[in-house]
Amino acid sequence: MIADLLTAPAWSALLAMAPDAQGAGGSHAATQVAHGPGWVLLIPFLPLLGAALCGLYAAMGVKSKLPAWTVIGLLAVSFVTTVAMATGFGGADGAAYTVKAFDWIQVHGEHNSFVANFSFFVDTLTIYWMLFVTGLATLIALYASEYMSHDVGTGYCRFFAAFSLFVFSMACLVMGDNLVMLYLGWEGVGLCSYLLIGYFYKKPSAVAAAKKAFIVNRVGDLGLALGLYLTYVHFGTVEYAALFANERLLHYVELAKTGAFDQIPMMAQGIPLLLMVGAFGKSAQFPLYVWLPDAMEGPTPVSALIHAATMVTAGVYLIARFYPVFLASELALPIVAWIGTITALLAATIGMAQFDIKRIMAYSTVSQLGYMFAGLGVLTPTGAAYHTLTHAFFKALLFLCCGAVMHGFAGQLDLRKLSGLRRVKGWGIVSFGMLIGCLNLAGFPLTAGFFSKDTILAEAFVTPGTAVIGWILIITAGMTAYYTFRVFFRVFVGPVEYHPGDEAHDHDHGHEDHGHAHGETHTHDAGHHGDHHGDHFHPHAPGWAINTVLATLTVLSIAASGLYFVGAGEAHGTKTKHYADTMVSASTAGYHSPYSEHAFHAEHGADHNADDGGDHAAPHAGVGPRGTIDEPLMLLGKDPHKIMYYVSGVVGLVGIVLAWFFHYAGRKTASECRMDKVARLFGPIPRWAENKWYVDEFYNATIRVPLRVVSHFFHWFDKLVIDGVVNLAGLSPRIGGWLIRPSQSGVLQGYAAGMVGGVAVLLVVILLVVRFGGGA
Amino acid sequence: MIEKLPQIWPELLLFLTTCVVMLTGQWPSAPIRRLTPWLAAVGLIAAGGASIGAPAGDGLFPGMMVYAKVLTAIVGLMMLPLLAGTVDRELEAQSARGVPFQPIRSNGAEFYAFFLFSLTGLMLVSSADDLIWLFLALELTSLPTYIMVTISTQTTRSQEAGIKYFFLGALGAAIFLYGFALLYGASGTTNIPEMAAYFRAEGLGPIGLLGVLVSLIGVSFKVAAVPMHFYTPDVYQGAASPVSAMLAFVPKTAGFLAIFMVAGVAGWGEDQRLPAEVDAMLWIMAALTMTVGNVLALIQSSVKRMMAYSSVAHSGYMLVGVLAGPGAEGSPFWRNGLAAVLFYLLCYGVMNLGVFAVLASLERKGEEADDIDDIRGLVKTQPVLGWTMVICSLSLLGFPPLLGFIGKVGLFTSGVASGNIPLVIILGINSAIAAFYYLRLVAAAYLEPASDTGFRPSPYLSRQFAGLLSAGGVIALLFAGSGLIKAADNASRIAPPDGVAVPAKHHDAGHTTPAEPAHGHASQPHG
Amino acid sequence: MNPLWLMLLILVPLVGAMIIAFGSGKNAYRDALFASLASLVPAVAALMEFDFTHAGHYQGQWSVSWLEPLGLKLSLGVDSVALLLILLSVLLGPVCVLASKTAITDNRKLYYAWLLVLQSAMVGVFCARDLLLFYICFEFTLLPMFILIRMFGSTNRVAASTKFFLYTFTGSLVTLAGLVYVVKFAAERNGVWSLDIGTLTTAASYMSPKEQAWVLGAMLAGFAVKVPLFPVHTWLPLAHTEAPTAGSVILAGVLLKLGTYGIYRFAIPMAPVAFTEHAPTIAVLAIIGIIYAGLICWVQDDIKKLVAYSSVSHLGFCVLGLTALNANGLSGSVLYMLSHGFSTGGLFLMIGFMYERYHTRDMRKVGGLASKMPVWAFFMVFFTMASVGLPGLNGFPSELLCLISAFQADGSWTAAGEPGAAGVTLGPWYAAVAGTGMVVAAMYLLIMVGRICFGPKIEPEGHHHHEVLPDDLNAREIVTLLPLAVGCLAFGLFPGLLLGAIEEPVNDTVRLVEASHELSGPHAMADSASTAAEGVRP
Repeated sequence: MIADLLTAPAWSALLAMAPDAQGAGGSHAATQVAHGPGWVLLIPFLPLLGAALCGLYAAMGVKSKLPAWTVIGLLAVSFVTTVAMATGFGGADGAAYTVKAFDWIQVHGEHNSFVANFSFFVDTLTIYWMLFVTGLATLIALYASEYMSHDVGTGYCRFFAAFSLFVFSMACLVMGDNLVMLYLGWEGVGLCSYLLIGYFYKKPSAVAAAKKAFIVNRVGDLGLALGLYLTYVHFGTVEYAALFANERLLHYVELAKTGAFDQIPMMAQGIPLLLMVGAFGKSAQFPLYVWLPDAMEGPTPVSALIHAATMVTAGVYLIARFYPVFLASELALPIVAWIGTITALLAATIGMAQFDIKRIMAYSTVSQLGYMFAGLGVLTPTGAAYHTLTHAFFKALLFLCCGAVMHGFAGQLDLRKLSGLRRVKGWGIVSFGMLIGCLNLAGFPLTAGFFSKDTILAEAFVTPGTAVIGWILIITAGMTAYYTFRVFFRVFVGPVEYHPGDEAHDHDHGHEDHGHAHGETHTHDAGHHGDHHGDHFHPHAPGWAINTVLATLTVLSIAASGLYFVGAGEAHGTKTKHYADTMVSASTAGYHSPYSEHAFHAEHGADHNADDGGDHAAPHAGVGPRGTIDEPLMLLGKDPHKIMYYVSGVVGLVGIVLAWFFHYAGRKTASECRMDKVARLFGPIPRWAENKWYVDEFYNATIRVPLRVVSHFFHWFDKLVIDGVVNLAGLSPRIGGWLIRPSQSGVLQGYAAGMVGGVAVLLVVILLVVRFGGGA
Repeated sequence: MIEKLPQIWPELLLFLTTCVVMLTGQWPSAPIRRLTPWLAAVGLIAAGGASIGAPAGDGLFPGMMVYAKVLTAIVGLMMLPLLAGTVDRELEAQSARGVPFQPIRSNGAEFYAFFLFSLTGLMLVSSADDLIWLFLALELTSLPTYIMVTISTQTTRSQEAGIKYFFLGALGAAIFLYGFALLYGASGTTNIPEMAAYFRAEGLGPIGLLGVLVSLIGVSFKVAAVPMHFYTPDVYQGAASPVSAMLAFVPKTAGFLAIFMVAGVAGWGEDQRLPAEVDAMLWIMAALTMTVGNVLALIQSSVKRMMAYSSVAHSGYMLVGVLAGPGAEGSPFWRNGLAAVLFYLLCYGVMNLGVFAVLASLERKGEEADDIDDIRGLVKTQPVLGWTMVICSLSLLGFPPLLGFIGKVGLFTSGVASGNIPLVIILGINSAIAAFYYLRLVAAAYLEPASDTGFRPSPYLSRQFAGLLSAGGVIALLFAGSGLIKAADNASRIAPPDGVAVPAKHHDAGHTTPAEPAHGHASQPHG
Repeated sequence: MNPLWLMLLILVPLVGAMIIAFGSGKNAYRDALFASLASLVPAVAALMEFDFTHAGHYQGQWSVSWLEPLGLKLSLGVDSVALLLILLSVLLGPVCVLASKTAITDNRKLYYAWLLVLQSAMVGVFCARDLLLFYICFEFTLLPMFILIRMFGSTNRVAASTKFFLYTFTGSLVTLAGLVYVVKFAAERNGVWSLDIGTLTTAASYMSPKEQAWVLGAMLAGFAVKVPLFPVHTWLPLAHTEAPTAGSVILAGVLLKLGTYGIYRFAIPMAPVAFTEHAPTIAVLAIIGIIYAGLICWVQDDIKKLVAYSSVSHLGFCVLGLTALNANGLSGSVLYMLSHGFSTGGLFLMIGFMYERYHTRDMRKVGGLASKMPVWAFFMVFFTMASVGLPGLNGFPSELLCLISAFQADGSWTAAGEPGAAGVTLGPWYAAVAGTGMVVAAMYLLIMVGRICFGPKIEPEGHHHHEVLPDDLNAREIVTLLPLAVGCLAFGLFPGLLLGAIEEPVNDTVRLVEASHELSGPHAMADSASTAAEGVRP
């Protein structure tokens, strides 16, 4: 199978310079990949221009929506360019190319060189990712132009500068042609995330969240950085073109195919283990997921774009991009799978117990990212990438709907204080968008989310040894459906009731007039129960920009399910099933699980064998990196993909029904429902879940506090011991002086005695010790 | 003896001047009295000039004479303006008011005469080729200074200082005289080159060794090395600053010249090291001297006492050079410890003078500045004095690129090159300790705000001029140092052994046995 | 290259200092600004005339004997590393003068004169080709800095300046002993007494490993204090905290680099075998410094002390790169020397500007300034990010290369299969542990920014508006910051230019170290070669 991959055009282009790709010469090989058209550079650099212009506007004191329109325009052009890049590439048949902006870091030593240029690498995976990144960014910028309008002025410029800079960073991350560029983008998106989470910088919680996001990400970045170093040290290059054509790597993959991991050096096997730490950080996987829920302190468009749709999928991208490297490690993919699964489950349990709808979405993002990681781990990068795409659309949609609610209800996000919004005037599009998003997220049959989730679930069952993962993921799917519709049933349907948030009250909280809640006149107490929508609070229905974006995204989310049926083709000589599969398979992430192929054969045995000359299945049937299987893999006697359609569909429906029963049926007020009684049966467990299983507190107690103690210890150690020794050393001559000062008594006889005594002692010492003591 | 005459022309000229000065110093006519320092200067210039053309000496260090005498003349000249107004102030003031001059109460004549006597002694030390000569010359250097200390101020303090100095000096003299006697006993000659040749041939032997050790310790009184350093603070503080400045240079130089000779008698052997015992003793003395000097200087608030202890410390530094010795024939300056010492003596003489000149130039009711508080903010109130203090202190600190640093580099390099690296490290650490108190002087004079403590510039502007000379010297010698370094290098060369007859002394059996068998066979006298 | 430019680089500030010192003092600021700008002219001229195709050759060589019997010569010449460091020193000149306009109100004559003298001395250090001249300039930098701290520092300035002077002075004296030993060795070997650094370097590599070890130890005694390396770093936080803003900028920007430059220029080429052998030990100290100082930063309330400790932490990376002894490491380290001053210097300026307005550096007393001083906050965040090592800004390329080099310095892992450049074995653990410094840096710097820029606004009690300065930065202050900010960006985006410029000298150094190993016997190479054989497949 791998050998087949190598014959594909993209690979052959890379292989063309394989002889040069060895050792010291490897880094120069990149120049031999075809150079792409220069206009590709517009994709990253237009957003950068946007950021610079917004900075300029800020300096000039622009007080209009000019920054927004500038950024939207530039992003749109960037998106169009991306589309042009995609159409120009030719799908699975296109050959990867690089486009260099300028030399960046180059060290040419005697023995080896380190080359990382400011240069971009375009293959199908890049295109796949960039399409939704730039597309969503444009849409969300449009949304934000209205959403952030209360802050027109410096803050507005700041927002769009960071927003635009984020797209630039993301483009560097996805398009960079080497690991260092990826790292640049990686940290760049981290910075923008930091700046945007902390957008309301007067709010201590926002500042803390921003800080936490950056620092936790840094932990992950450390792993990524170390992985980068190790890649360079082991393979002699960090440039993709040379790296993925590196003979050593290809050899490892070949070995891995037969399960001969013992022949792959531990160093090579360690690289993915380090890279994945970076991925865990950026994509909020256990144990580094804690920053993402807090990141919801940022403005909602930011949550939608960065913390749901794009940046957090960087980890998925990283692993997909480095799939050959991951394959070469015995432990890497299983760990990825398990971490993903644990994260999915854990986040789902927390999500079920939250009351803040944005937080629920945040935990669901963590959970869905867990799905994607599990997908990567169970050998379906396609499934992961597909889920990334669908998730990007529907989660952005969900967040933007939540944002609209928050925008309209003065920052109110508590699902116990909102109900029946569907029937409030002007909220139709929001409610419908929410419904579509929820259906997708819940994996309602025939939605995009359903198909993409299925791919992962099915693969979990066919890959040997990961069935447990499959079961956990199915349970998680049920929980997801439940908590998703819990939000929908409580907030958007049911009796009409709403209480505005407190944002109009507290002027210290950054955005004073947020929510247009006429804070001057009404005296609403947010905690005052039973207070219906009084005369003095008017929900602020979304305007045209928000509605347009929501409508577009709703349409796209629905349309995304169509992707499952289009774009099938061929990559590297193997048939692909749909658009995402084609795009992923034609890239460096191209890897068809032998098991799924096997299962696929079982279903379509005859015609497939006919295509391959009849003997295709036999040699490849059961050999894969995770072991050998002798028989075509079946689940309940069927193709697992087909089976999963039913199983997960049913599970999703059950979740929805449960949510309906507990949160909608018979609910009279916003705050009370049947679930309250049920929750009491579980004792303190819901409270623990609501408090996120006290993971933050646990980290605080086990990491932060001890480290802080150590730091204080060091501080005092430095002051008292190290500096103390220095001071003592400085003081010792003085002490010496005080000690011998009495000898200078001023008494003549004393001096004479001292002199004579000194002479005597000196002579005795010299004569006895040196002369007769053998000291000479 | 007559053939020595060309060598001692400078001394003779200086002696002549001394006699004249002794007369003019108490001449009833004030203008003539005022001529006294000028006459002294003329004498010094003449002596210095005469010594430039003088032939090589007969001593162990034939080239030393010229260097040492020129050095003496230069530093002596620089000190002269500082001496003005040290004695006879009241008397001169009365005389100016018309009171008849009373020579019997005057000290002016003695003061200048003794100053020149002392310098004469120093010059004689440098040309000594005989132990007796050396002893006499050393005493000629010291004895006048006892008087000078005593008469330098009207206070009982300087009398006390003088007495202490005298008694302890006598004790020191006794010790090295005893050592000289032992040397004579061991070698049978008082002629230094012969003695050196004898020991080189016969080995030191226990008596000779004891002689060298005791002589060295005794002579080290002059340089104020531990354990013979006790007198320094009291004497320096008791004496007037000009005299203290002189004490820090003249006896010290004489002492080091004598130490060279005594050490040269013991000889830097094949490996360019002194005999082990001598080496060990000097090592210990050097380390102790630097350290004791510096740590005691560190805790002083009296600048004079601080400078006294620092003078002890500087002797310690220079002992490192003595240990290194002149190096093998033809070795360059950086290996030549003795040259480094000779050059450092010059540097020290120049820069040390500046600090005392500043102290001498500040007066409050006839009392000289002494405490560190007295020089606060001096750069602002008295720029000339202030900058002199700053530059000279930094130079004493060894701050690059000032003269003290250049001088210390020689000690450093010779120490390292001769393998005394631990001692050089001790030197380095001591320089750092010293940096602390010198830095205090710099900071007080330059960086701290002035506070009026009542000190006013001395009416004797020539003192300020001496300071200026000193500071200027610190800078100027940086650029003109090459010739002096070369001269110092030349001066420190030991006379080649050829042509020196080993005295034919016959030992009684059992009287002395060669201590070191290795030397035993080399008993034939040199041709 | 015309040696005139080097001479002018030294003389122009000196003449400026003279003019100020003997002038009335009324125009001290203006004159100093003029002099510091004027010295940019020879700097630019030198840069233009420098032949970068032979960057490893000393250019603009000029020599005149000074104290001939001592061997001391005024001998100048620069390679690209030295030239770039000179440019850095000269560039910081106007920045420091500009930053001081309102901060220094008394004794301006003294202040600006010594500031210029300091610049002169720093240039002297980098262009000296005579060992003693180097040492003279190296030590001379102490005095101006001592005076700047002592006269213009804050409350604890006397102790700080004294400690700064004595600590570094003591170490340097031991260094002098080591250098003199090299001179002695070279003179005995060549038969000629020479202080020429090139001659000494060539001769020194013939020293036996044991001799080299001693010499290395002696050199490190001075250079490590200067860097400062753990555990001889305690003078730095004190000095930085007490120094006036411009003093801190120079201290961080150039003076600390004298230590790493000393290691690069003297310790490595003169004691290559010993350096290789002891590189792991030095690296461990560097790494301890990185983490230890980083954690200490975390618990500081004094913002200046925080940044000062961060310097200790950052310089650890620089030394780590040096200990790796391969092209990546040395390049990264030199780049670090060049670039560190921009971000840390920038932070010190930011703190200085804040201090001028609030007269406190205590983070408990000020906070949330972003709302009142948005421009200030922007620059603060910018320099913080540069300091954190954000890619695209100056800290990143050098940090990356230093860490990579440590990783790579394990002979068994290089791609081409040959042992690590000089046979050093640091290895992945060194890089991994040092890398945690990145996390720690993010921690303390972001917390600092979070406290001081963001959150609710806190101002010290009884705070009045500055009589001269506006709430936010004025034009002069922004102009002061711009060169540093532009530098941060330029270093981050185009480090390739600098790396290319220093490629030749760095590779020369690597070659020299490798050659010395062949000289001193095969054992060192053999060890790593055998491990290399195991780890690398054909």
